Amino acid sequence: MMVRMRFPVIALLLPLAAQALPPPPTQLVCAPDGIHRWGVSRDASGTPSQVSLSVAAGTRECDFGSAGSPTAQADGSWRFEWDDEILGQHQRVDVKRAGADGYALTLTPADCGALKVPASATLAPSGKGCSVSVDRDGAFAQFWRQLRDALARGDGELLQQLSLPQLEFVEGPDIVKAPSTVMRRAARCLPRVTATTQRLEIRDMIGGNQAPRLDMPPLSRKGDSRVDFAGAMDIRWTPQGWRMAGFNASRDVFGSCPP
Amino acid sequence: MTAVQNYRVQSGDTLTGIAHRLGVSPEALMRANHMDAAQADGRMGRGSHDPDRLQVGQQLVIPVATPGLEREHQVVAGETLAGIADRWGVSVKELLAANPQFDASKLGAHAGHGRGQDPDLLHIGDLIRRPKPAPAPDRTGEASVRYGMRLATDEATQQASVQVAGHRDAWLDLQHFADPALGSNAAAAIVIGTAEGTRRPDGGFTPAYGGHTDPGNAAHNRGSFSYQHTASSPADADRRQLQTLSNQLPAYEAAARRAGLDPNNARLASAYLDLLNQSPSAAGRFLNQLGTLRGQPLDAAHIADLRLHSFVDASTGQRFRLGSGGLAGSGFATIAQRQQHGRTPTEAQVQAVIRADQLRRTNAVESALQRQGLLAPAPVAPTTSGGVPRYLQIARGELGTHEIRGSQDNPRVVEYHQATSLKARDDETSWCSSFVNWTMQQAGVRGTNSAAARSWLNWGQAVPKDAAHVRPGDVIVFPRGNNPAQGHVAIVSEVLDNGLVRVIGGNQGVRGENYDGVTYSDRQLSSAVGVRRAP
Repeated sequence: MMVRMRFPVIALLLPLAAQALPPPPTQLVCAPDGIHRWGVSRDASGTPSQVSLSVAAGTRECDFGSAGSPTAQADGSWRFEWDDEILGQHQRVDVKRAGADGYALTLTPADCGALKVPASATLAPSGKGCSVSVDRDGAFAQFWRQLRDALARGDGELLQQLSLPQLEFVEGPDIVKAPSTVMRRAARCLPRVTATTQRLEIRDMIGGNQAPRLDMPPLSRKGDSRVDFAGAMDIRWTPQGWRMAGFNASRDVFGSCPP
Repeated sequence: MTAVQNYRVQSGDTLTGIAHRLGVSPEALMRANHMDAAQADGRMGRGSHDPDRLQVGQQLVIPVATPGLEREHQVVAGETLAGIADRWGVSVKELLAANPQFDASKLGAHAGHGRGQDPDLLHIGDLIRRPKPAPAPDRTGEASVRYGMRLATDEATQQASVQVAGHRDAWLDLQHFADPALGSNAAAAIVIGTAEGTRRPDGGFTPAYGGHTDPGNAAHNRGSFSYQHTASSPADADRRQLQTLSNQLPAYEAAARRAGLDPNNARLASAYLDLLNQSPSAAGRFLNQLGTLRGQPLDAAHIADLRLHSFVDASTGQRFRLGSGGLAGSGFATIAQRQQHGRTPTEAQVQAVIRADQLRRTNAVESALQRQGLLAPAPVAPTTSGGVPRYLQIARGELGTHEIRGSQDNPRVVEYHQATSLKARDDETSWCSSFVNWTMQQAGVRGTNSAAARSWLNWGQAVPKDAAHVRPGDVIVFPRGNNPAQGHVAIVSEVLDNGLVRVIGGNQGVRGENYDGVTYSDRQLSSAVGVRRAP
């Protein structure tokens, strides 16, 4: 399908926003026994940004991930404290550095649903069942925060930065492309884009304060490199982090969106 | 059968007899043949639209099978044998007996001993024969004395028009059902304990109730919920876990209401609480997907299916991946490995174990609810009509239908084509106009009978292309590229602000997938080449 250029070519030459987006976080994950799986996500300085735990016991299982940023403690440790909506409990996890690149975690309470979990654990890259990788879930939470900010401020440049250079749109049976400059006018119309088969709009998720969960509808992972928001929006993984890739709307919807 | 066909009336035929034999409702048969149902009184009238004026040799158009009345059924994506059995009101055993291509011994993730097809692994397009009808069970006497019965009158159902009139629903007082003060005597403890293997449906106790070592993580379990934390007794463990479960009831009630479902429905509430006890995150996914139950019977089959899809993403067929990289239902993988005698199980085998477990738990919950007098016949979840045209409601009911990749064709899309003179036999031929024609035909509205999208520009009355005039149900035609002969037709579902319309249409692109489907999509109203209203 031929792509019609509806936006001035000069717009493509404009410099992107001066402020560079932060790099994706990395995570240290340890699954030492086939029952428990611990994770610490951290930024480039090693400051933890999220802790997570999952436990399986036969046909039962439980997992949680911290919400919000940790509070730095006087002794150099960090405290994550949040009300877990899924578990219906107040949870606290204290994190201390252990060795050069490890962490010691202490859980209060040592509960996850009806299941018991260890009250403490020490994670290190060299530990049994441990590995370090780019944290795509953490990067997604980062992307989601930036998207919310951009929409709240009507920041078209940031929306463009959070997009692939070419975006896909749906026009009847055709999937058509448009350059990311179309995002500069999209702030008011993007939240209203609809899911393909549900009465759900992007704003239904963007509006809340909860961190997005990639393991929970309406978000859905499509392989390692793609996240689908119920057909309304498609998000792709790039070495720079997650970027918007397409919408369930025609190009005109963004192109003629009022400022 | 799902294809449109003709039938020549024979001596002795009656309209209801033909309808019954061919698996369609008499109403649908009358509608398809332009008969007036109001004249169906058993007496032959003079009008040409009188359904009682059947003539030997007369050709009748037989519409698509009415769900639940068909003699055979072709499997579509996401269906289970239990779901089909439930829709037809027969047991899985009866369905298996009528379909010898299946090996019943393979049911429930068992290896089986025959060479027949695994009933847990249905393929799209499989033909399932309906067993001969059995006498309906007497369902009287199921009313709960303790909890009472009432007509569904909660806020959500009051706002909706209930499609099945006079259906009575089992109603739970949720706070009482899961009251921590009742401890092990709470009905929730009995119901979930039955699924957990610690209780009996009659409220009795199994040895596991008193305490046992969990085979999964070797922790000590106590009480009805297999509680692993500190408690002074099994009854104390039940009180503590009931407190945790009941704390989540407001979130459950809000999600059910948002989905247009009755939160006090015994099956729904029990399924949620049991899943919450089994896997809190899966219970969260269950809540997020409650909308998929809207308009479906709230029966064991549909609930078990949603429970399965609280572990397995229905849109990808893969298990949900957790934040730390693990997969939902990882304990089931261990069980599947044991069943495979230590060999690494395939993903399909793991999912078969999850499916079997969710069916088992759902059936256990069902038996306990029944024994506790908390069940009534499965109600149909209400659907709102909201005053929109019937063909728009019908179109919404088709959301998610899509082409099949490769050489196969989705029979539903082929059905859409039969509503136009083109009568294409594949799902590659453009089908946006066929879809709109089909929805009109189902609603008894005359369409254009043409597969050309722009044929709709001459249909009905013209409507000005502005938000003040366009309304839900209008047919809207868009250009397609620069070819003046081509176009795309859809139905307006909603008029948005900023000059936008939300349309529902067939043959619409689904990004990231190699198929087109029936979807919602947003368009700029000004880009339409025409908007038309039903004559």
